[in-house]
Amino acid sequence: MSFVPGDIPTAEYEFFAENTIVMIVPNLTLPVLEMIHGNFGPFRPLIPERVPLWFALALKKRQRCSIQLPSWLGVDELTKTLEAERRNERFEDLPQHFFEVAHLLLELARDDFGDARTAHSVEGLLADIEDVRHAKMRAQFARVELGAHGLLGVTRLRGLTPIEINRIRTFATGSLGMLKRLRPAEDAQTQPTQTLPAGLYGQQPAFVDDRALQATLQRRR
Amino acid sequence: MEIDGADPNVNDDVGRLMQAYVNEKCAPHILPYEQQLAGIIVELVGLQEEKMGGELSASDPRRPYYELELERMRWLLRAYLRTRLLKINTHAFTILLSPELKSRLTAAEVEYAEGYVTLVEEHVKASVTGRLKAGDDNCHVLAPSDLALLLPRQHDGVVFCRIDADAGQVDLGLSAGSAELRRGDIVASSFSDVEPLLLSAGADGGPAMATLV
Repeated sequence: MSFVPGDIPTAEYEFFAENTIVMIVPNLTLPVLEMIHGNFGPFRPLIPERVPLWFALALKKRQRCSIQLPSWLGVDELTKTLEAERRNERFEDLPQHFFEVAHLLLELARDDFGDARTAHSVEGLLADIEDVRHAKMRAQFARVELGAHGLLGVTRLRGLTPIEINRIRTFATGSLGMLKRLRPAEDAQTQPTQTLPAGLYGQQPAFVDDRALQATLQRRR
Repeated sequence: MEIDGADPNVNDDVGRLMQAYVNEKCAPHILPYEQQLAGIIVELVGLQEEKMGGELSASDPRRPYYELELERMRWLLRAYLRTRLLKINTHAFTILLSPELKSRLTAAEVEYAEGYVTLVEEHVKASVTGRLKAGDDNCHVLAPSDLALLLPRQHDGVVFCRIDADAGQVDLGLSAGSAELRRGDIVASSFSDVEPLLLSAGADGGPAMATLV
C-alpha cells in the first residue's frame, strides 16, 4: 500500500466534526467531567450545558439528553442560506463542519428537530444548498479548463468547507497539476526530460534528468 | 450565521493534532513531526488511563464517557503516526537522500526508514540485480547514491490550502504573478508554493499561517 495525498474518508470528517461544541439539555446528574478535550459539566437535569458533539451523541444514545440544534440548522436560517447561495456568486461562509454535523444530528438525534416534517424540510434544504454549491464549484473549474486566464482567481475557493473540497480533490488536483505541467512558460525553462511510468516514487511520474543520468552511465561504461 | 468560535473550556491541542493529521494526509512530502503536540496528547492519555485504573471506581457513571474519549484520542494518535509511516514506506529513498526531509523524522522514524531501505535493497539484489551477468553492457546497476538522479525534480502536487492569517503577496505558481492572500482564503496551489506558509509556525511557535484542507 502506498501513500496517496488527500485520501481522507468521509467517516474521518465526521470524526473531526464530532469535536464541535453543541448545547445539550441533560436529564441526568453527573459531576464535572475532566476530559482531555476539556472540562465539561457539572450536569443537572434541565440545565443546558456546552459539550462536544461526540459526548452529546453518546448521551443521546442512552436517552440521557436532548440536543439543542445549532441556530444555523433551523429551517428559517437554512432558507436564508440557500437564498444567499443562489443570489451570490461567491460561496457563503458556513461553519467548518456544516454538512457533517447536520448529517450526524439528522441521523442520530432526529427527534430533536421537533417533528418529522421539520426534519424532512431541513434535509431538503441541506440537499439544495449542497447542490447549488456543487454547481458553483463545477462552474469554477469549467472556467479553469477553458483557459489559463484567471486561473488564480477561480482557484480561490473562499467559503468551501473541508468535506466539499474533499469531494472534488481527486479531479481538481489532478487537472490543476496537469495544467501546471503543460504551461508553456514552465516548459521553456525546463531541460529536456523523460517521463517514467507513474508509481516509481509514489503517485506522480518521476522526471529524469537525462544529461546527468547519461553522464553517470557513461562513467560506468 | 454563527461560525465556529473558540471555546475557553476546550483544550485546543486536540484540534491542533487533528489539523496536524489532516496536514500530513494532504501534503505530498513528509512534514516535521509535531513532537510537542503529540507529546502533550500522549501524556494526557497516560494521565487519563492512570485515573481510570486508580481513583475512578468501576461503577462510576463517568467511566464510559472517559473510555470513549480515550478511544478517540488513541485512534487519532495512531492515525497520525500510521500516516507518517505509510509516507516513509512510499518515499523512503527520497526522504533518506534529502537532508531536509530526513531532518523532519524522529530518531525512531529514521531507524525505521533505513531498515526499510535496507530490506528493499536486499530484496532487489537477491531477486534481480544479483542475478545479472557482470559486464553486461545492456545493464547498468545504479548505486543508491545515484538514485538522486531518478528523484522527481519537482516532487510536488496541487493541494488545497486555507489561509489562517493575512499572508500578503504570495506567488502561487499557477498564475502569472503573485496574489494577496487574506485570512479565510482557500487556494489550490502547488505544495511547494504554500509550504512556507504551512511551516511558518515553527519559527515563533505561534499558529501556522495556513493549513491544508
